[in-house]
Amino acid sequence: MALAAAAQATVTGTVYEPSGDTAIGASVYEKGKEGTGAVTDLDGNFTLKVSSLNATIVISYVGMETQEIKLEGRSHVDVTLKETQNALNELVVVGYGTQRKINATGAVKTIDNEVLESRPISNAVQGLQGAVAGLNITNDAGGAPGSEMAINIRGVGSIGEGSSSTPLVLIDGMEGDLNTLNPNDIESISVLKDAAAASIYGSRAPFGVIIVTTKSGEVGTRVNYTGNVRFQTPTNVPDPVDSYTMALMVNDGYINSGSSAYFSKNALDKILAYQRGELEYGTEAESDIKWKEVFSSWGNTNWYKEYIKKVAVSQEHNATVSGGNQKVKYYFSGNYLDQAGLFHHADEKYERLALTGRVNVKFNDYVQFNWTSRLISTTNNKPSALNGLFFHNLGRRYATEPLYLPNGEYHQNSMVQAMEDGGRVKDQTQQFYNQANLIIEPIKDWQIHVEVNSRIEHNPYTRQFKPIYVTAPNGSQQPLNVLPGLSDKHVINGDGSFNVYPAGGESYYEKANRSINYFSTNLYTDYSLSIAEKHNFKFLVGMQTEYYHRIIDRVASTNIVLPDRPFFPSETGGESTMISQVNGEWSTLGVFGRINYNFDDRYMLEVNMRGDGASRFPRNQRWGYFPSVSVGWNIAQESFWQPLYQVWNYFKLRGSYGQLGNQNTESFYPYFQSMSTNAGNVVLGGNQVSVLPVFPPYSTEITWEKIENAGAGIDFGFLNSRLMGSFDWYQRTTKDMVGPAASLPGVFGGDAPRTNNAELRVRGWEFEIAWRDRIGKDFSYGISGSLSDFSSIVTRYDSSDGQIGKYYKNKHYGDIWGYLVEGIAKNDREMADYLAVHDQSAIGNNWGGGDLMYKNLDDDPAINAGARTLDDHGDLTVIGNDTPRYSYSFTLEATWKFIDFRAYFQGIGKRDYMVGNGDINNPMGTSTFFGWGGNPWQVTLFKDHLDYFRYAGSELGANDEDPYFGRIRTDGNNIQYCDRFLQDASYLRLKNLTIGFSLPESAGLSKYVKKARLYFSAENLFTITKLRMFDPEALNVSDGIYYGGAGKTYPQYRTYSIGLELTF
Amino acid sequence: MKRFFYLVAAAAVAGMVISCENEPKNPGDFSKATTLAINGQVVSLVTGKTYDLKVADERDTVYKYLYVLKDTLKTVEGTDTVPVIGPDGKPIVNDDSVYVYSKITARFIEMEPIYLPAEPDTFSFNIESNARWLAGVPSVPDKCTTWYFNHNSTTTGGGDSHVEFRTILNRSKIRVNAAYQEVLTSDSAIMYRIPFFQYGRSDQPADL
Repeated sequence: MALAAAAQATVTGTVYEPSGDTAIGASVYEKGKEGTGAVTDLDGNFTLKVSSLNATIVISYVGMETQEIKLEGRSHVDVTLKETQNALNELVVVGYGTQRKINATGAVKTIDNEVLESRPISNAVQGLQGAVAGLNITNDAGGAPGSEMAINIRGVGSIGEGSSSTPLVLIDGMEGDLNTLNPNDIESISVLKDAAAASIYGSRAPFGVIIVTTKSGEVGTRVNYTGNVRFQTPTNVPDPVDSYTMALMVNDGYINSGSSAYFSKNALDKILAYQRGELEYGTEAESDIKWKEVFSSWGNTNWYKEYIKKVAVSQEHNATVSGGNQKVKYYFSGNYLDQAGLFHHADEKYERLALTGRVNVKFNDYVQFNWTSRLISTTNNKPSALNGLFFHNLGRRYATEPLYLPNGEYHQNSMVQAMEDGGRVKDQTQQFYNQANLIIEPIKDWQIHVEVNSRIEHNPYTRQFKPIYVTAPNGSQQPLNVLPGLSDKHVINGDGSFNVYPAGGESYYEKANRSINYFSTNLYTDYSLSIAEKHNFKFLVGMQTEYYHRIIDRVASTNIVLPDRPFFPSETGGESTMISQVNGEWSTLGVFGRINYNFDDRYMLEVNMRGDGASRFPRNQRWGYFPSVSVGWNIAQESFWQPLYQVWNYFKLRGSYGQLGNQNTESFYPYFQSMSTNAGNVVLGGNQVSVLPVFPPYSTEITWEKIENAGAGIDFGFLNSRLMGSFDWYQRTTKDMVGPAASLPGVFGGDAPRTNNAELRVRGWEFEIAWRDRIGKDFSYGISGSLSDFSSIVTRYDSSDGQIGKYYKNKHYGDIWGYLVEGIAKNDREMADYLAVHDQSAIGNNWGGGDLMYKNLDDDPAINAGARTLDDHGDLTVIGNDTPRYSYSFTLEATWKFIDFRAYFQGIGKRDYMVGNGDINNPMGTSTFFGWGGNPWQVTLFKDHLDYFRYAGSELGANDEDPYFGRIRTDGNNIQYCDRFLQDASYLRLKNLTIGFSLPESAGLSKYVKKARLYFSAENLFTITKLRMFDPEALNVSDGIYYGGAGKTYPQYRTYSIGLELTF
Repeated sequence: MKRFFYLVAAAAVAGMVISCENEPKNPGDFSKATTLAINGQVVSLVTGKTYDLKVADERDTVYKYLYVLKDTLKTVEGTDTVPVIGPDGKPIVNDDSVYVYSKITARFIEMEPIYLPAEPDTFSFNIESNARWLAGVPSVPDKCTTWYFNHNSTTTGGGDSHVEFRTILNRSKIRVNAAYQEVLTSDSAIMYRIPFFQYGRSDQPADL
C-alpha cells in the first residue's frame, strides 16, 4: 500500500503570466501523460497527481512558451511563464483553415483585435483604416452616423460596367457585413490579398478576402463589461464671412465681371446697422405673400454655426459572459451603440443593438459542434431633408438672410422647417445570422467539416415629406419645398428606388422593405500527412453552395391624409401612387481543392484549384475554373544560414500566381435583356401613355471578368522575431471587363453592343515592419509601421469618342485634366498684353488685371479645351492624379506597470485633388472652393475665400502682392480646372491616441474585480495636411442626384472618449 | 492616486491643445494707399500725333455730396404741429437740398486743356495705378452734342492700363461744351480731370 501511495504524489502550484497576473486555464500535466492533466483555476492554482515528486510537469498556455519543470522532490511550484517571442509559430487564418506563419506562401496578413480595442469607433471598418498594408479604406463621405466606408484590397479592381471590385467579407466562414458587426466580438482579422490566398474562395473573391474570426468561450467563467462615452466635435467646419463682408465680396464679384455693384450704399448701411443692433429684424415684407430674402435682406447669420453642433455625445456599452470547461465553452455578448449626429434641428440618431451567442461542444475526441447565432439591429433616423442637397444648400444660404422673420417664425430659406417638420427617413437593418459547424476527426489529422450558414435580413425603410408652410406678411400660409430649389419630380429609377422632389405643400409617404435570404453550405475535409518528419502534406477538398434571394417592395403615395400618422389611402392606381418591386436571386456551386506541401519547413508549395458555377451567366458559360500556385523558400531554415540565425532568424521568399473570375455583377441577370415601361411622349384620350422601348443591341458572348494575379514577397525576422516585417510586390490584371465597342455606321440604327473588351492593370507594393520588446518586468513596447502604394492603368479600352473624361487605353486611373496657369495678371495692361498673343475668349470674357493667364500648350493661339478628346484636347494636359498613393500607418505602443499607451498614425503620402463639379464634359471648380461657382446662384463665401486678388483701395484691403485666387467673379472665369488650384490632399492624421490605467493588484478593489481599466481615447486628434479648407477624408460626396464636392458633405469629426473595462 | 489624476489631467490637456484648428484670416492690407498717375501723352491712334498731358493745378479737396430731403411743410396750430394743406387738398411737400461733406480727402489734379482736331479720331492715354479706377463718361449739357465717347468696353479698369476714346467730326467751329474726362480711384482718394476741347474744321489751326 505504501508503495502504491508513493507512486501517486500530489503537486500543487500557481502559474503566473509575465505581467504578474495569474494565468487562468493554463494546462498542466505530467510529461508523457497529456491526457490526464489539470487546468489552473481563476487564481492560477492547480492540483495535479503525478507518478512521483521527481517527475517533470509541463505547463502550456496560449501565447506563452511551454515550460517543462522538474519537480526534484517539490510538492509545490510557482511558475512564471514567458511570452513566446517566436512569432513564426503564430497561426494565420487562410481559406478553410489555418497555417503557421512560417509555412504561409500567399500574401496574408492577420491582425488581432488590439487594433480595435478601446477605440470610440462606430464599426470595425473604421477601425481597420491603415491597419493592413494594401487594405485601402477610404471615407470621402464625411462622418454621417451609420455611413459606410469604401474598401478595396490593392486598389480598384474593375471599371467594367456593372461589376463590383469590393473584397469578400467572411465572418466565421459566412459572408457578412463588417459595417454592422459588433467590433468587440472580433478576435482576429485576416486579409487575403492575392490569388494564391483567395482563389480557394473562387469567383466570389477575385479582389481579395477579409476573414473575420469572432471570439469564442474559454475555460473559466468571465464576465466582462466595456463601456464608453464619446464626445464628438466636428472638424474643418467652414467659417463663412459675415453679411457685410459677404456684400462687399458680392459687389466685387459683379464689378469684376463687368456689371455694377449689387449692394447699394444704402443696402450696405442697412447691413451694418443691423450688425450694430440698430435694427430689430433682418428682413421685411417684399409683398403680401413673400418676405425679402437672398440679397434683399440684411441679416447676419452664420448658417454653419446655426446648424452644426460644437459637441455631440454618443455612448457604447458591451457586456460578455464567457466560460466553460474542456467539453463545453460558451460566449454570449450584447452590444449597444447610440451615436448622435452633429446637426441642430435634425435630431439624428444611429443605434445598433447586437446580440451574439456561441456555444462550442466537444462531445469527445472525435466530434465537435459549434453553433453561433448573431442578431444585429441598426436604425438610422434622420430628417428627409438631411441629404446631399442640404449640404449643397447650406453653403449657399446667404449671410444676409436672417434666421427669424419679424413674425417670430424661421425664415423661409432657413431650411429649419424642412429639417424639423419636413418628415423623417428611417432606415433599419435587421440581420439574423445562424451558423452550425460540425467537425469530425475520425482519425488524428483528418478532419471533416460540415458547415451550414444562414443569414436573414430585413430592411424596413420609410421616408416622408410632410407639408410645411411659412406665414406670409398677410398672414396666409405659403407652402415651402422640403428640398429647396427642386420641386415636383416623381420618378422610379431602374433599380426600383424612387427619385422624388416633392412639390411645396405635398404630403408624401414612402415605405419599402427589403428581404434577403442567404443560405450556404460548406462541406470540406482536410488531412495532414507527415512522412519521415520532413515531408509534410496537407490535402483539402470540398464543395460549397450558396443561395441568395432578395426582394424589395416599395410603395409611395402623395395622397397622405394624416401626415402625423401616415397611412396609405385605399385607391385604385391613380397619379398619386408609385409602386415598384425588385426581385432577384442567384446561386453558386463551387468545388475546390488544395494541396500544401512543405519539406522540412524549408520549401513550400501550395496548389489551389476551384471550379465555380454561377447562375448569373448563360448556361454555356456558367462554369469557370480558377487555378493558383504559390511557392516559398524558408532560407533561414537552411543549414548554411545557421551562422546568421542568432540574429536573423526568419527569411522567406515567396511567389504566387493565380487566376480568378469575377461573378459580382450588379445585375443578377446580366445576360438577359429587359424592357421597362416609360412614360411616352404620346397622349391618347387625354392620358399620357406608357411605352415599352425595345432593348438596345446586346452581345450574346458576354462572359466572366477574369483577374490574373502575380506577386512575390519577402518575409523576415530578426533577433528572435522581435523585429518582423514583409515586403510584397504584385501585379493584378483584370481582363474581359465589359466596355463599349467601336461605333458602327449610323445605318445600324443603334449603339454597338457592349462586350468584354476592356482591361485594367494594377501594380503595387507593400511594406510592413514591427518591433516588439520588453525591458525588465514592467515595461514593454512596440513600434510598427506599414507603407504601400499602387497605380492603375487602363491597358485596353475601346473608346470610340476618345473623350478624356472617360476611360481610354493607357489612361492612368484617377488622372485629372486641366490647364496650366502662367500667373495672375497684376493689372489690366499685363492682361491686355497677354491677350494680344493668347486668346482666352473660349473660356471667359472681360479678362482684366487680377484674372488668371492660362498657358498655351498648342499651336492654336486660342486657349481652349479643344474637343476634349485624346486627339484634340486643346490646352488641357494631365495635371495630377487623385488616386491615394503611398498609404502609410505607424503605431507606437507601450505598457508600464498599470499604464498603457497607444498612438496610431495613418496617412496618405500623395494625392492630388481638384475641388470640382465632377462634370466630365465641362469640369469647373465649385463654389465651396472658389466662393463663386460660375453663376449667380452658386455663392458660398468663407473666410478662406478672402485670399483673392484685390487692388489697393478695396474695402476688404489690398491683396495684390501674392493672392491665391484670382478676382472673384460671378461668371466662370478663374475657376477652371488648372494646376494652380490642384490641391495636395496628402495627410498625416493621429487616428487614435489611447491611454489606459489598469487597476493595480495592490488596490483594494482588486479583491472584487479581476481586471479594471479606465481609458481615455481620441480619434482624429490632429491632422497635418496642405489641403485648403477641407478635411482630406471628406472630399467627394456626390450622391449622383445633387451637386457634390468637398465642403458639401457631412463634417468629419474628432472624438474624445472615456471608457471603462471591467472583468469579473 | 495623486499621480494617477495628474497623468489623467495632463493627457486631457495635451489632447485639447493638439487638436486646435487654425482659423483663416483676411490677408487684406488696409494700410496700402491707392496710387493713380496720368502723365505722358494723349496719342492719336489714327495719325500718331501726340498731345502732352500737363498738370495745371492740384490740391486736396473734400467731396461734397448732395441729397434731397423731402418733408411736408408744417405749421403750429395751438399746441400741435400739423402739415400745411395746399390748394389741391394734399399736404405741401418741401424739397430741401442737403449738402454733406464726406470724410474722404481726395487729391484733385486738374490737367491743362487739350485741344483735339476736328477730324474723327481715336485717342489713348496711359494710367499708372495700383487701384481699381473709374473713367466715367463726361456729362453733356442739355441740347449739346455728344462728341466724345469712351471707347473701353467698360468704363472701369484695374491697375496700369489705358483709356481709349473717340471723337466725331466737327464741321463748324470749336465745340461749345468741353468734355471733362475724370479718372478717379475706387476709394475716391485721387481724381484727375482732363478738359478736352475740339476744334472745328473752320477754326482749326493749320499746325494741329
